[in-house]
Amino acid sequence: MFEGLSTYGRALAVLAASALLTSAAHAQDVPKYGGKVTINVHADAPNFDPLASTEYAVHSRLGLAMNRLVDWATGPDIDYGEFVPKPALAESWDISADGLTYTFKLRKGVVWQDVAPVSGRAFTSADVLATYAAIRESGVQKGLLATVDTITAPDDHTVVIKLKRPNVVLLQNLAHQNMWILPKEAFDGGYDRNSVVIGTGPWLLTDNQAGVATHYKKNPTYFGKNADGKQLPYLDEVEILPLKDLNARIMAFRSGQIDIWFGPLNLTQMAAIKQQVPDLQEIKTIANTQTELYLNPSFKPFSDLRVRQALNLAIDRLALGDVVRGGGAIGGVVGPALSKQTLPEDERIALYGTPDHEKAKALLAEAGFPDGFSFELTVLNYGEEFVREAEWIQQDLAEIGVKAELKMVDLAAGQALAKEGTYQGLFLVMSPFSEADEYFTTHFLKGGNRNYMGVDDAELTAMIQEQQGIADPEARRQKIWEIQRYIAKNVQNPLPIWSSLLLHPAHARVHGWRPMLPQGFPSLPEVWVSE
Amino acid sequence: MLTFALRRAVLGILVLITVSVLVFVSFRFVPGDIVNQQLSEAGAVTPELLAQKRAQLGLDKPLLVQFTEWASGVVTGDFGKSLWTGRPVANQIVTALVPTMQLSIVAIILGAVLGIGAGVAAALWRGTPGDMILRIVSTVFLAIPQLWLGLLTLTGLAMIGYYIPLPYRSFSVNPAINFQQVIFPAVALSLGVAAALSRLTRSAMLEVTGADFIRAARARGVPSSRLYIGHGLKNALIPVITLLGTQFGNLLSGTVIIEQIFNIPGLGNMLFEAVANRDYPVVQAAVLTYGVITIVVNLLVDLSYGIVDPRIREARS
Repeated sequence: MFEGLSTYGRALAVLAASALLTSAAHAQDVPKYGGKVTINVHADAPNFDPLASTEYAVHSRLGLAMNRLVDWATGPDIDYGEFVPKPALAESWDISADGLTYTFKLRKGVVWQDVAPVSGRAFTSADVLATYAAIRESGVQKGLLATVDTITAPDDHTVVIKLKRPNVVLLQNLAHQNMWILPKEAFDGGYDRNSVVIGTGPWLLTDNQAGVATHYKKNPTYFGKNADGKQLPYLDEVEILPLKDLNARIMAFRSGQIDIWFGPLNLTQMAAIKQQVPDLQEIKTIANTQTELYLNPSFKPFSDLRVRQALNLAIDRLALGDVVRGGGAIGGVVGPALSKQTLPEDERIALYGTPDHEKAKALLAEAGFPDGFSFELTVLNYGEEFVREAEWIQQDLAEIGVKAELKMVDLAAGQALAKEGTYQGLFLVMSPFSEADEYFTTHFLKGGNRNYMGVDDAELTAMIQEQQGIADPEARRQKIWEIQRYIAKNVQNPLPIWSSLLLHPAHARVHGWRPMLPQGFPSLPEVWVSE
Repeated sequence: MLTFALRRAVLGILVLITVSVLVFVSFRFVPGDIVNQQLSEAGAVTPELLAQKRAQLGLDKPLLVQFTEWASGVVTGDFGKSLWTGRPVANQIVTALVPTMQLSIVAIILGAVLGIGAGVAAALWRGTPGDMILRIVSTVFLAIPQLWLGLLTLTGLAMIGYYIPLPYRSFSVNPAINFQQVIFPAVALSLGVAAALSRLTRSAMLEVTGADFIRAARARGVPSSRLYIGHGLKNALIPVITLLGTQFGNLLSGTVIIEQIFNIPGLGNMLFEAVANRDYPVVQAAVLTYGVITIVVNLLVDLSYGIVDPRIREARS
């Protein structure tokens, strides 16, 4: 190629060519402003009132237009389920030495989107007070502020939260996927928060038509900047399509009508898509949910810990995960997506992934069921693979003489049976929790929303409350692990089963897409498109 | 004729009242309610919060009170508010009804044209390979569920590199895109209708064409086209029209799934979600709407007998 040139000349030519190539490659990586991405969310938003429901279809849409006080940081070094606090509407915060007082300094110069009646006025502490007061009164997020004693605002840009007792999870609770800050007018009759969305977020919701689409355009007054100080967001427009049928979603993705996939997808389907879209970004994480088997202690056999332990020893989870799900991670008291809080994998395998049918039968015999027993296993219909998991469990239990009769119900009916406690066995998918504390308080504290087993253990309650007050991260992690071991040994209910792989394919034209556990697409402001 | 129509209308109203009561009562006995759905992912939910939410939605009132309030609203045209969206149910129904009716009407027309055409052709080609092929094809489409036909259509289109454009646009906004979005689900819905109609049309045509009056007309030298279409088909239409009415009802129920597959924001799609979310007012109003459509279609079918057959018209008058 460089024949006829001197050695020096050749070296120069090589350098020049390298520089050109590097610059071309660099141009590929430099974010560009403009463009649009389309995301599928497989349900309509029934309304836009964040205080009315925990529905993901609502909160995932609100995230594009709204902010929380504290947010989840995103980046190449941050795990899908790892909470690293990032300033959002609060620019900084101080925590008192006793852990009881949190002082938040609010970001100055933030304005609400230019939508009547708020019409672009400045964001102040009064908005934070109004939002949190409404949540504490009747918001679905009420439980996240349960340890809060008072919330005050010494000035327009300071909010002070005092706790009844130390709770190191407060920051994460304020960054929870449902904790959006609304203008105070949303609570004094100024507008209908059911249908009007006014936020401080990167995009402005321009229209929403049920069953059709939700559209957003760039908010010119958004305060967010990237690490280099560049104004965000990059995208001019975002479109969310509520495609409810899986095949329709696959077709839409293949045709490029969807850029970013959100929702269930298995490896076989992903492989089929990849045949049509070979350059897609194959992003995989461990699901933020896991399957769980609840055993109702009011059904006599399940009141005996030995029976629950026997069932635990009957299920071959690793084979199940391999055959039925084709990948993922073994479940734990705290789901494996919370990589820093769940027990290490080898310990989870020792606790839940080492089936021993002989030992299981011996435990059943000790408990007075040498010939096994029958029970009704209510299975919530989350789809084909979920049902196959239930069938796998059914076969494993049959190996130790326990006959599970599967009863399929829809989600609403299943939730009702769970809440009423009128089930014998219940197989479902866990909520997408983002903190070990959420797992503990919902499952194992009296009155917890997922305590379908009626657990009321004084020692466990004390341990759960204790971890909420441990400020040192490593010491807290040790306590969280200790709690999980205690539950595995003394409660063994629900039985964690499996966390599947979560697939988030995106087309090659999409850059900077990093799926994160909380709803609202926290990395989307840094997404840009190359066409 | 008017008396007949009025009598059918009164019967229709009685049917609607019965359907309303049945749906109201039976759906309340299905486990689960909307408040559990709304709070399903919430961390800590106290019984007080649940009670507060249920009271806000009026679900704490006795069933009889809830039904009376709903029924008295319906009489005045107020179907209440959706428990899920908080928006007036009547508005949601009207918005969703437009695409559903568009889809259903296109599908029934396609089904009628294809089915009657194929039926007449099969009768004319009786005993030939053409007849056999048409009969086999109609049996195949009768056996295939609409869900599968919908998926097959979607996959088939993708295999030839065609993808239906998204998102949905109404006819008034973009007729060209709307046509592409409606025609394929309409075809998927219509094939079952066409299959049933084709089989019935064939047998009715064969019966009629063997009748004395057809033989007499043929002996008089009436041209074949007039003989089969003007005399034969007209006399074979009564059972075909009856089936068309029944098929319209089946087709409406088919829209529930087809609208999901093809992303059409219609009544079926809305009903599907409302059932899953236990959104009682929407379910009740949607079922009532389906009931009204079915009754009106059947009334039209009954009235059309008189148009097709003068003997029926005279008997009614």
